[in-house]
Amino acid sequence: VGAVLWHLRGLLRVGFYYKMLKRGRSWLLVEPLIRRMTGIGSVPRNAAPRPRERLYHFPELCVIGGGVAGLSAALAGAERGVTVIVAEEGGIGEKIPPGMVRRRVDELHAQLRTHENVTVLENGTAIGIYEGPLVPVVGPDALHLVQPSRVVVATGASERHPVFPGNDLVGVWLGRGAARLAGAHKLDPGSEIVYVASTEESLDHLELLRTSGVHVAAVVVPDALSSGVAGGVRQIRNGEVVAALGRTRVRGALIESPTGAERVRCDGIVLSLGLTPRAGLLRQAPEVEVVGAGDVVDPGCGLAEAEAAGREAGATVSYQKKLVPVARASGSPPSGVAREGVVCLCEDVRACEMDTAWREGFQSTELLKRYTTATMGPCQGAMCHDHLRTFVKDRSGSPAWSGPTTARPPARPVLLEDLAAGVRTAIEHRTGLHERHEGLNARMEWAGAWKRPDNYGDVSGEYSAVRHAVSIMDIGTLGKYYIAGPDATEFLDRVYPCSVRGLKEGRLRYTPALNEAGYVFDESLICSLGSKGYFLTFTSSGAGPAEAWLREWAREWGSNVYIVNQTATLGTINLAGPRARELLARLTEDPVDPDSFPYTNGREIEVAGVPCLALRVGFVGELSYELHHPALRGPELWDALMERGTDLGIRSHGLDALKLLRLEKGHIIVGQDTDFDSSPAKLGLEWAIKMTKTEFIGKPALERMSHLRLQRRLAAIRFDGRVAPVEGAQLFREGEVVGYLTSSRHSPVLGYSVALGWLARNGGDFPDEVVAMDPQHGSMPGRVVTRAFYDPEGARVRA
Amino acid sequence: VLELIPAQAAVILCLGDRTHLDSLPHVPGAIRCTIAPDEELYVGPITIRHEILAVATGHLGATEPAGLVVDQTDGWAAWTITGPHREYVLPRLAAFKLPAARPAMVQGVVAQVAGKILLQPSAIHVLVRAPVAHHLRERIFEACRDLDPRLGAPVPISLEVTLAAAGTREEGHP
Repeated sequence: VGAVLWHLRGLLRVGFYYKMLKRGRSWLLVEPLIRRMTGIGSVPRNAAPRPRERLYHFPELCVIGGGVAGLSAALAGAERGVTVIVAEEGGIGEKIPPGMVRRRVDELHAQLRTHENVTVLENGTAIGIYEGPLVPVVGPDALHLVQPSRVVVATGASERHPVFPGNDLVGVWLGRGAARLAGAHKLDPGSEIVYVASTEESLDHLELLRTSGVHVAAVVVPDALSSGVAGGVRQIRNGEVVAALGRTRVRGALIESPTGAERVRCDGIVLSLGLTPRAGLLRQAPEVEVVGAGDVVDPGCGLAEAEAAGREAGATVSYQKKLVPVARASGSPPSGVAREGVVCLCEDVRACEMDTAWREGFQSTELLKRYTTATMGPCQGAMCHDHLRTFVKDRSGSPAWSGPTTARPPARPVLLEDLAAGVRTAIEHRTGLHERHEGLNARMEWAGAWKRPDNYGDVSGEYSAVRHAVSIMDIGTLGKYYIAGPDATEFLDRVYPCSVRGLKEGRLRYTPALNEAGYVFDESLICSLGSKGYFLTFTSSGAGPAEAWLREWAREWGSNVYIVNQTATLGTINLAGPRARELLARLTEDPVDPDSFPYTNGREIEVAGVPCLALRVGFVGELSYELHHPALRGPELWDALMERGTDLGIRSHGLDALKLLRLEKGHIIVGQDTDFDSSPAKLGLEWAIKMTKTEFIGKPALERMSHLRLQRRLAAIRFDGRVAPVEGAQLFREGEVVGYLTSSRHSPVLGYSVALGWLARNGGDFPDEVVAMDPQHGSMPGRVVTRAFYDPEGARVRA
Repeated sequence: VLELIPAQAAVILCLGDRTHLDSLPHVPGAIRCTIAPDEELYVGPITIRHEILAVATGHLGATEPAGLVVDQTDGWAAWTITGPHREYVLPRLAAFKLPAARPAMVQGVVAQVAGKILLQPSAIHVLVRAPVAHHLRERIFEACRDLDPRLGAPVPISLEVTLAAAGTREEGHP
């Protein structure tokens, strides 16, 4: 197939995929084929990510690049006594062919080793320079986040890879690569080569190749350098390779010179045509405290110049202005981009495709880059950025359209596992009773940031214990706060829609927390502690935002109030069930009879010797006491309750049982049953809103909404039968979708299924009968009922 | 060798006007850190928890009627990092630069959780909220596995040079 496509390449111009295949189903058919042919392969499904860590560094100076300029900068900094980090993409000097430069690099490296204030990160790839400056360096084992005071970019320059027909054939080499191959690895770039020289450095490489035994068929060289070519080598003066000949590998070179064109038989073409700066990092860097040194700003500079520039950069205390690369390349200047040949080797963009794109209207460097993907490959334009600019400049004649493209991090391809080094996506929060739950073989589940017991292996038994005996649950995950200070009462009264000012000491009140739009985003219990202020709870997963909400309003109003987060300091056990009082009385000498400690009251009592703030609430619909206690004494309290409650049938219950227990009472769970625009009226919580108050957050919005007809509301729905419709099931009325279920369970104590769901008006009124469409059980008729399914009068919670 | 020791620390939070907080007395064996404009935190060995509480309550009770003293000992977990490699730990877990001076206190995110760091001449103490105490321990062991970390037995926190005594109290990062 590849051979066929090669012959059809004239048809497969840039944008071919977009134009021909990205429509209909054709892409689905050809995508697997393209992937297989291009070797993209498939994503491994069983690969485990490597555990990577990140290391933070705060040196005075960060040097990117371990060449002569970079090492000189590091040395100058080290001699001044500042801390230095050098990041080098490979090993120091390993990519430099043997010769004078390599020797100098080795000397500088040896000198650096004597300085303890220098850290060299070999095989560390700097992938960007961010504001700060911050330089992330991907190393073999860790991601280094370097936050230096100053950055020296000494990333050097790449040899220019000219565009001519056949420039991507096997056997076309760049001078430095060929020299390294022969000098360092003792491998020949070909048995007979044509060498194109245009710099002093290229003559060194030519000599290295020759002395390594490579036969040079011809040297294409300008007059100015011809004297540097060894005798006995055929020279073609002032010539230019205009094509590499061959089908899949080089068989010869077509050379044009003032004396005419000629074909030279060879199996290797080595091009040493000067340098273009590897300036991607420098171009993306912030304006201050970053400077370039060496080839990256002065491509083709000599050894002494590079060293001097590096030393100056390393010794300078502050860089006020970024030094950008000079707009020139060493050696022969680019003489335009040929009509044939590959422009971008990484992305396989050909010159003819650039032409096509240009004719189609993509007539600037930025547009051509995006349309053809030239410069967007792994080398990020190191080889082809100049070609792109030259092409546009030639065509447009205007420098305005041929400016450099925007350089952005990452400057190198980076693995996602490197970006995620040292980061844990989920940090498990545990209560002080975590070990107790593990001891009871609890099945732990995520609940927000917390790991909580979902059940202890017998949901039905746990549920029954609450309804018929006594049970305890760890609810230490609730957000818990003290609100104190001179303005505490006024502050809470302005914040909440209930009356806090009228709350007597020892009384507690439920209230939704509203945002300025009048929507419920969390809920609170407020207990007055008299002169000590107030004790406040939020939901487990909503506590963080709710605390920020409180603090923001305190700051906005300038309230003299203390908001003390006690979530971690206090543990909470909910003691619930008809025999809860009986058990509590066994463990406390404080009065807990209904008259002394009635519903919606809070008392400071001692339970099993543990000081507790006990709140009588009823989320599960039974007599309940929330026992807020010092967290470290939680296990002691838990053990005492379990031990003294054994004969009463005590069990611990988890979230699974809780969700059913509260649903039977019609109590909502914020986030599960509410939406982003749930007003109190939609949730049936008008009773908790005191509109006669002068002020509370959300009041103006509620006043406006009160004039509008309610379009949606949360309703309690009864489904007869033993099977509850699935949560999320759509609700229908006379064939029209009227809503969906947010919570749904079968109630053992009631003998039918109970649910909460959002309903919209259907023909003017809210429907009183609906049909839930369950994917497994089909149509399930339900009836809208009063909110509390279980104990609607609340006699059990008030017992 | 790196040793990680669960440190039993008393943590007492004092809230009030800055003028009165600044005059909170020194409690021998404990340190006092400014953690917010209107918050001061005492940290000391668990053995002097009630002593700190009494001193703080007595002082604020007498000078700042609107002040508040809250015993938050149960809400914090302290880890003491000792051993010759102790200085290598935080650069692997915290994105901020530690002060060179000792003693010092800084606040910031350590291993992705909020922490308070007490830097002392021969030890580093890191305080995090109790619900994530295990997380910090796990992350130190993961990130420093090459430093041969070992878990020590719990002991009362030892603050051999107090910030107040040294006169170098340092406010943390906001």
